[in-house]
Amino acid sequence: MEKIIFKVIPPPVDWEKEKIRNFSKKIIKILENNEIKFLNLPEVVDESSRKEKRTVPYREKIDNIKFYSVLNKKFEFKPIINKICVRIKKKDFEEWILRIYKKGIRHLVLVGGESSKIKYPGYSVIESAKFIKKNFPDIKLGGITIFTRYKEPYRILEKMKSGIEFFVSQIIFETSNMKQVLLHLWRLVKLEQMKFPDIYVSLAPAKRIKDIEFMKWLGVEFPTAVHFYITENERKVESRTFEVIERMLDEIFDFMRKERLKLGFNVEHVMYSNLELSEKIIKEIRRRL
Amino acid sequence: MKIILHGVYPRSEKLVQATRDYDRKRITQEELNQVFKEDINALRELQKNFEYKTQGQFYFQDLLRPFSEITEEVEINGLKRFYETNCFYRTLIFKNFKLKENENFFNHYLLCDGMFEKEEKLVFTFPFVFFFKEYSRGIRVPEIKELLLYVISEIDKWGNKIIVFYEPSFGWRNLDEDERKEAKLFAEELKKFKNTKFFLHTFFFDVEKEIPFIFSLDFDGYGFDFYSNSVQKIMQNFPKNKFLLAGIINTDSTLIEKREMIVDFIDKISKFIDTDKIYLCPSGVPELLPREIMDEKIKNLNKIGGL
Repeated sequence: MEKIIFKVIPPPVDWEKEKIRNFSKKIIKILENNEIKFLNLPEVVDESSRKEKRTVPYREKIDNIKFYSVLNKKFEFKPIINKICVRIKKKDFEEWILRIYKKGIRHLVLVGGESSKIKYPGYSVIESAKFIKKNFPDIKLGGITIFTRYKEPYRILEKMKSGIEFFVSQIIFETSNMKQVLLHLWRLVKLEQMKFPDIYVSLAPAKRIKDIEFMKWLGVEFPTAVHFYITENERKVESRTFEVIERMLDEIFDFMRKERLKLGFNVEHVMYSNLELSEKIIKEIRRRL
Repeated sequence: MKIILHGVYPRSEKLVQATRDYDRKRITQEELNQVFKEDINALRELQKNFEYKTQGQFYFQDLLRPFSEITEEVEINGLKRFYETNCFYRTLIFKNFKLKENENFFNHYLLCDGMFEKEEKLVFTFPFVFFFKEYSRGIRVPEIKELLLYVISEIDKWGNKIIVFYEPSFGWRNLDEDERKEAKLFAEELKKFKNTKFFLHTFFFDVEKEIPFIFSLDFDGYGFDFYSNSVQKIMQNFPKNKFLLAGIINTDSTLIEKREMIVDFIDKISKFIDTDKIYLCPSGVPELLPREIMDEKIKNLNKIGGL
């Protein structure tokens, strides 16, 4: 299991080549400096079905496979490609898998829809996983876990049974739910005589209140006290977010020691301007490993 | 059977919303105060047949924060988990400890701006020294004692009060010899206050190993969380003539306590101590539960506890 993976949002399609080049350089530098082998590349879509209004306007992004190819020309790394499997027709999905398989991609994170109320044309996460495991058994499959979701340990278990081996969490700003879900999951996998999956806990920095509000829009949950503390003073958002992350790391490492569980970390920048701050989190995790 | 409520009582949804609205300048201070009053009055009504009542300590942002108003140069910073719960406390950072007179502490935080009389039989809850130390910086235990004694000396003049000291540190971490000495000295100093009863309430953790020490502190009563501790282990050496705060309202669960469980508990505990020395109470911190659940739990206990 990798200890740290790094999640990078592909740049917007309307960025100039020079800007994309600079952004790519920065990413490669972070990967090199911190000996990170895996880059987690999400598929970013306009999640317009969410109830609340976007706090940051949507800009179309470069396709994650394309961006991987751009980066890979300059630096060798292993991509973890995120795919929202429900959105595309089953046949197109099957063709897409074949295409990326031929490109040598062996790590995928299967992402479901935004809402269970929407009828999607494609495979569900479970169906996609079963299809891939049957036809491309050497692809390592990942899923998303949301620690605050109802019956999450059972959802993880169901996904594991369909062939998903690792999970990347939603960004967290509180560890209680994570601990509860993982302890429950540990009991479930023991009963099923399965191996505990690789879990990557996601952490992200923030510099402005706007960043926090955007994360909230994305569905990140903040306990009231934590939200109030971080957003109390615009000038302190960055330092207080980092302070909260440091405390969470203390708690996560304590939890790992106490429960003898191994967890990995998925560090995200969320906002393009916070790339350097996400490296600060990576370094903080490295320091504790 | 007597019932007593301690700690900060959960705010109603209406009050939580009003506080948010006030912070965002959507309502006036007066409008906010009105909602506070409604919450306080509703809680008073809930306790109408209780001997000692709490005003809910609704004005306390947490159990430490008001103390920043009776000391010079305190910064409120940092966010620290409240023991092993989902709640957080802000840390009080004392730059240069010095007491400061401030009537507002007593009038506003304790007597709710005239809603309660000094002479009423009231319960106040304060942090015990290790709890205070855990969520503050730049203040030594003797200074914490000085701060608490200053408040207590004023309250004692009013008469008819119970002060419950919260101390979850028992069972949570090891206390060293110096800390134990300080705790003993503090308990001794409390003896000079004749008009107030002092109870030490432990919760969240199994305190079995600390029982001899807890009982060596000369308080009027001791409180235990009976969801984390067994009746037998706590009560077998319970000192004579002391009161018991019997933590039977489970603050870790929204489930309403079953009648049989309460009856069985009262039956068990009555074998060790006279019932007039028992106060049934929340096992831990009431504010961890939603208001309507906590209200329901109290009504339920009141119905069954008045056996």
